[in-house]
Amino acid sequence: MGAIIALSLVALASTPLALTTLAQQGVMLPGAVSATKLMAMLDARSPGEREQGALSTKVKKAAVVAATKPRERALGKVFPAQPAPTTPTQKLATVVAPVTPVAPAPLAPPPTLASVVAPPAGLPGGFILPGIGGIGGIGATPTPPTTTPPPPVETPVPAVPEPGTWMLMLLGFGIAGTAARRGRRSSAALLKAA
Amino acid sequence: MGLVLVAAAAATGFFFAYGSGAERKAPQGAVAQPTRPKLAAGGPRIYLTADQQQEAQVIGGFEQVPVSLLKVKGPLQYGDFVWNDAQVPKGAVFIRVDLRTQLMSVFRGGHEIGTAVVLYGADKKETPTGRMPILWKGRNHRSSLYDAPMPYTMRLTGDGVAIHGSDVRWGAATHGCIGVPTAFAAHLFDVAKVGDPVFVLRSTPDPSARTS
Repeated sequence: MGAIIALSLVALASTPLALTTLAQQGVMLPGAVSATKLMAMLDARSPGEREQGALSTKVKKAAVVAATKPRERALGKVFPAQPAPTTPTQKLATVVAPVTPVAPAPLAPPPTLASVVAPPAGLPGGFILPGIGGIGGIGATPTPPTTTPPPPVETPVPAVPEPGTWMLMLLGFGIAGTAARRGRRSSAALLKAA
Repeated sequence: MGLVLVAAAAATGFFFAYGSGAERKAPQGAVAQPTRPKLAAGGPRIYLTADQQQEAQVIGGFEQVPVSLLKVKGPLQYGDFVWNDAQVPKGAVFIRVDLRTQLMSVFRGGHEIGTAVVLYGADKKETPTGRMPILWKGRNHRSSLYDAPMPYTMRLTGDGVAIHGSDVRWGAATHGCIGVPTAFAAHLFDVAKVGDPVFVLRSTPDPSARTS
């Protein structure tokens, strides 16, 4: 009885699947025929043959650097550069031409020493010596108006919707359309039933 | 139903707006050597049967008749390797490189102690096949021809073909050398000696994969 069981077990164990499993577990069955070829066992570890045309002998540093750099950039509105500051000779030329002779403003008659030296005691500290103003006024030269152009007005960049926003919008339209269709269908069904 | 659609749309929108996590994990700056973990070999070794040993003689590339293989779980990827020389007795070392399967096997005393995915020569700069003994070993060699580091070099030919540590990754090839992961090369450098044979061959696939 035991021999029959043993024989049947051996017969069962000799099946290829069992042998493969046992061989993979590292169990040596004496006298048993191996199911897996050595080549197959070695091939099972392989990542496969090297693919054609997928080769580089250079270090792929450039590829990695390129991959980390952003592929696209959103450029803002490009404004024309400000005019460069003009050279002194040019400035003189521009200054000379448009300047209209400005007659110096009529100056008040210079104050007499008496009025300056003996000011009334009651006046506050805010008393400005008109003499200085007068002297300053005589010495002043008329300054021409500046010719720098006004800074360009910054217009806001129009917002471009993100792809996710587009998707959401389309989906919303789809939902609205489906809802409308459902509503129409149900109302049509109600009309038919009525 | 509607809520599910809206949730899906919102998720898609967020995905497009903020991107998946994969983009943020992209490496910044210089290329670093990938430190792939060493795959643990399974417990018991695979001891070869007489038929398999017979087959080894036929397919070639074995200096001594192989006695056992490492138990490797599934196909290896670029950068993967297995090293397990625990309890393997001292003995003659030989290396077998198969260019078709892109694998290297290191045997000591007939027992496989290491296996790794290799890089080999590009199409115009092919790695020579045959039996080549190790001529010279150098720990921190630098290629004079290409001015590139070649850690753990084991020279095979006079004109520069060698086994050395490199960044093993998909899409890469060498100018003729056999590139292995640097950590694996360190192990190999310790066990291999000058004079140990290296078999480089391109095996033909077996049409009948499993027969009894």
